[in-house]
Amino acid sequence: MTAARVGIGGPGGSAVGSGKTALIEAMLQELADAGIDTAVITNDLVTDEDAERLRRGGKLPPDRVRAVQAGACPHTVIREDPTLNMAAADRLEADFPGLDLILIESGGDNLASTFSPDLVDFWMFVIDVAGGDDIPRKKGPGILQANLLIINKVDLAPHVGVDFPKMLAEARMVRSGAPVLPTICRKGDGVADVVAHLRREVLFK
Amino acid sequence: MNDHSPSAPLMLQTVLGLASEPEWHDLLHVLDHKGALEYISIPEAGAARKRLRLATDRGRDCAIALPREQALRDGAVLFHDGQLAIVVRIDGAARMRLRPATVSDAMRLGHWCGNLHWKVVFGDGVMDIILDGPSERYLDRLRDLHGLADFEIMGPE
Repeated sequence: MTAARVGIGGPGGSAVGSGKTALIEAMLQELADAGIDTAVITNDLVTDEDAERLRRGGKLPPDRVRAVQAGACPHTVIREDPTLNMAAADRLEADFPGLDLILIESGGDNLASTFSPDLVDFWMFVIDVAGGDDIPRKKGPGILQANLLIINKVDLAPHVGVDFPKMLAEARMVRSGAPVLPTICRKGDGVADVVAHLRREVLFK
Repeated sequence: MNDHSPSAPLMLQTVLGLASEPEWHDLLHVLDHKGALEYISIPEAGAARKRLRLATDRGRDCAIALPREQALRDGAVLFHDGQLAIVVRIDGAARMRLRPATVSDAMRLGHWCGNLHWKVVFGDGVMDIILDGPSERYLDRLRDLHGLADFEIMGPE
């Protein structure tokens, strides 16, 4: 069986992101503990910033983290023309036979960001409470179409005036019951649930 | 490879053929009479995926993990062991048909729908949008285009 390809997208571009890279960092330990052989592809605008961060974190050997530079709007290389990422994933599979999972992190984009099914088997969209509790109500394609929606930094809700239970209920409503999971990636909270979901829905192990 | 224990899904890892092919047609017909033909229904919007976990019409837990070069399509046979066969049904999604008045209108309409990343199928002088959600969501976006392009909405089918 070829490696599952899982996309991780979400809004970004401001000083603080929604936590996509933090989610990957937190997931890597859980995945390793479960015996899931993993590699990562990061997508940045014109740098290798996220890849370097993951390599410095030391949760994966450096050569299992590959960087793609979009050079343009991040969604162009995960949806319109995902060939750069497909080629990077093919190279990882060739270099590491037996790989179970390739996580493909998009650069921070906007609420309309989605992944091409030509590139990934499953994709997650990561938002955070500090972005505002109206984000789910805006019904962006990323919110509606992702296979899994993650609401991160839920511990910040009282500090940014967000009614988190209401935000969670609205997210579940606009997604017509499709899964939504809360996390605090910085502390690792909820990350085991994300990995368990991936194991059931796409890794099958 | 396949683990039939209650907790493990039945792994479906290749397209063996198409139900419409003569060699499969007869085999499946026999199994159907024995009550040993099961179907997996997949929404049209999800048919491009290579990996899915879902149940057959008889509740059998299945995990599809196709090679990159294979694709799900209506009638694809994913499992056959002489006792049981599993065939894919792609549930046709509702469609909304648009008919532009002129070539210029067609160009504007096509550009607009492309920007919205809608899945479309082209016909003779018409374009069918494959709906992945309520039709109101699509009508709201088309509303903004009226005045810029002349086209007829022929309604969800």
